[in-house]
Amino acid sequence: MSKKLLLVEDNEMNRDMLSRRLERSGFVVAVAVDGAEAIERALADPPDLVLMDLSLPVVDGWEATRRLKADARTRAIPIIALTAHAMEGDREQAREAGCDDFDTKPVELTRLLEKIARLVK
Amino acid sequence: MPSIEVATYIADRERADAVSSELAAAGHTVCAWQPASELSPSVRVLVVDGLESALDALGVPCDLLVLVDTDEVSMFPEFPREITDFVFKPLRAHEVAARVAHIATFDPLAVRKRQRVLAHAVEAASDVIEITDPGAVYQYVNRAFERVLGFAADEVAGKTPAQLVRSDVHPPEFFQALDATLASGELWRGTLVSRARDGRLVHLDTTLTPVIDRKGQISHHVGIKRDITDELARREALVEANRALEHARDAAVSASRSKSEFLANMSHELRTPLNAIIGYAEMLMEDLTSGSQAHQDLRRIRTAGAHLLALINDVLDISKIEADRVELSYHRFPIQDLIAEVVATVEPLARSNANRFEVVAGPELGTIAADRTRLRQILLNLLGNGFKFTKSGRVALEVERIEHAGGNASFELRVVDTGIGISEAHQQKLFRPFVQADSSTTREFGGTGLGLVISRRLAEMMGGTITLVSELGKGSVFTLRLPADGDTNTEVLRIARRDNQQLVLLIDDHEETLDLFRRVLAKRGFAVISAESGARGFDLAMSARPDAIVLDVKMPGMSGWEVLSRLKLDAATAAIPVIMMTVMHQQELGQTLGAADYLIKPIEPERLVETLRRHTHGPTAKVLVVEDDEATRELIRRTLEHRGNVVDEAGNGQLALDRLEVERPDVIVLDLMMPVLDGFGFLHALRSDPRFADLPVIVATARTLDEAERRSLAHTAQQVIEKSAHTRLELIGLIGDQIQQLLARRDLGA
Repeated sequence: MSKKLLLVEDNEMNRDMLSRRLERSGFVVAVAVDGAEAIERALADPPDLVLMDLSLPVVDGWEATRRLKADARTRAIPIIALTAHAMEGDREQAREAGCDDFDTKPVELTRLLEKIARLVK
Repeated sequence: MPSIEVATYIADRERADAVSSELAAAGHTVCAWQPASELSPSVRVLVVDGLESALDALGVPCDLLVLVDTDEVSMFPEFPREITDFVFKPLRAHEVAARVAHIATFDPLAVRKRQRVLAHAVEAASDVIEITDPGAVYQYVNRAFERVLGFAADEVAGKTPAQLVRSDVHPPEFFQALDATLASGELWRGTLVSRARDGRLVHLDTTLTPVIDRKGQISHHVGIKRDITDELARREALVEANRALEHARDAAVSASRSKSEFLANMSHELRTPLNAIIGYAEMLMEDLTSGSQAHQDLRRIRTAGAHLLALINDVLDISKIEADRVELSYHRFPIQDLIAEVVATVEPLARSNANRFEVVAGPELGTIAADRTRLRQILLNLLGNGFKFTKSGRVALEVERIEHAGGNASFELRVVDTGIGISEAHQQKLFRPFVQADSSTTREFGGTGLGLVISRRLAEMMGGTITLVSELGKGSVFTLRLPADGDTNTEVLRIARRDNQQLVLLIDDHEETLDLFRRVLAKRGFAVISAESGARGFDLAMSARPDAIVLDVKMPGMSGWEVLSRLKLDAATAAIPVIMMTVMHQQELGQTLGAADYLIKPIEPERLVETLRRHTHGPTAKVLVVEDDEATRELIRRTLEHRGNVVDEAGNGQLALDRLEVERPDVIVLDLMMPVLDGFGFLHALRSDPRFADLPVIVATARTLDEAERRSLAHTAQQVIEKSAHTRLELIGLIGDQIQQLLARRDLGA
């Protein structure tokens, strides 16, 4: 059975592009446009992995990650942070929030697929 | 003993004879009552009975020894300068002889000369020297008086300072205090402002000394005054200039920070559409057969996108370096691992220009302590250049570990290529930002030319260098040298100074202890540097001047006690609080040697944090704590006061608004749930008042907030701390940290 990913991304074009590429790579992709929606979706239909943009409206990616990792129902779901920031501090902050891995945008698909494969057995 | 000629003028015959025979017995020649006109020029000393008679003899060029009554002296408070010496009555002949013998040993000419020199020195001194009588009437002023204040000696005579140079700058109490000091026999030091003859105000650094006579009365005041008017003006100008410089620096720091923030945001904005461009291009390529025209075109789009991305990254990197916003993170790792990783990354690139790629690594390379990401970036840049500028040639990465005397080691990583090489003229420009070696190079090879600049700066930040040897047409050798044990302390110090953090020095020979405490303290906002031996710790304390030192007692080599006593003996480090870590109660020894505090092992990290907070003082502030629970309020107040803040309290929002009318704090700590007026109501009232629109507020709340509340607070409060996520002590610690961060930002003018 194909693995289910939850892609959290507020930019419409990137959301569309990345979800389609991931679908082509064989994943089932659900999307959320902000952190609050991500939490709702993760609770309603737990994915195998979350791809989390960090700069998000309403609830940002760091906070959404913290909450997912604080909730027993979603704690086990691996989260890969995606960000266009190349600031050093972001990586640390993402780890502190509980992200399992981290990748910078623009996404290099093969690299991202490797990271996903490592976290989704 | 030299024998001289003495003339005596003593009324009492018997005593005169006794004196004469005593003097004759001492070998002197004596004559009595010789009229002045008949005196032999060889007479050296006149012995005169009574001050009255002495005044008559003043014109005679001889030393005067005067016989006086005790009361007589008080009647003549001023001893004529020409009187050499005197003897108190009742007269004793041997005493007179002793004084004469004393005078005889003097060379009178030398004495006069010395007096002249002294008088001349006083007269010509650059400082104003003045003598006044107890009624403050001028008795003497030197030439500097006229030069500084404009009054000639004859204008001064008979006047008092109040009549002559009164400036009306000092209040009456000032002179009352001055007079009281002098009347008690003490000297007075201070700055007097006098008015010169032309109306100018003159600032005089002044010492006034009362001269006490033999009866304990003040006979004169001697004033020595230095004109510091110009010096004060210069000092003021300097202070003004410093202030202007500080403003300029603050503005520059803040401008540079906004610039770097702007660039970071811009980079995000630029990458987001780029992400879409590259992504969609790749997706379309997957749909098309490779080799088709459309596939080739899409490849070009993707390549151009990737190039644009590299440019953005370079510009962002250099901006961050220039704005001092790059933070290194040191780790120790086998250098072989990194080389393998870099080689795997560049291998596809190595093949593209038909180049041969070789790695020449010595055996036993061991580990390096460095920022792994940044080191990888440097190597990728150097190798990338090598491959780019070499065609059908050889590119090699040579790695060597070099052991130095004294146990230090370093790494030399050389990228050697047989490419086009760089002319000497271009080598000069290569490491300068925004100056490309050759604009035609850019056209042909692309790139910002910033890669090498970034690499060199990063290498320097890690305590290393990058050097270049190259010959046009033959190839280039770029050599990166890095210390094997990169010093994290340098990096921590740089950040601590930049961000105004409290700096703590840990000295302990146990690496695990250092590691644990370093992490705990860093999390709580301290910058931590460390040393693994007493000797190194002492050196580091001298060079870094930390705000506090945590010192282990039991260490090999120099013990903690020895380090402590050396720290306390050196003026440069004596004032730094030292916290000792011991296994036993050795409080007394610690106190004797000057330890500020001590902790007994095993040490709770939280205890260490609290102890350090007690002994370090960040910037402090006036804080208004608005909280209805008295126990919590008290705890917050005590903690904040411990850290040197001044704390005011209010039990609810309304009381807080009332307090604000009385005194404006630097920051408010606010609870949300309170009777009468709650935190939200308070914030609304506060932000509606233009006086308090920008007053920082830290919200500390026991509840979990909902989205609407969070959004509302995002607009009205600087910081929100949710109590549920923390223990009460942690929470209060966090409040303190937030206050210090707010203050640090305020101090930087951001």
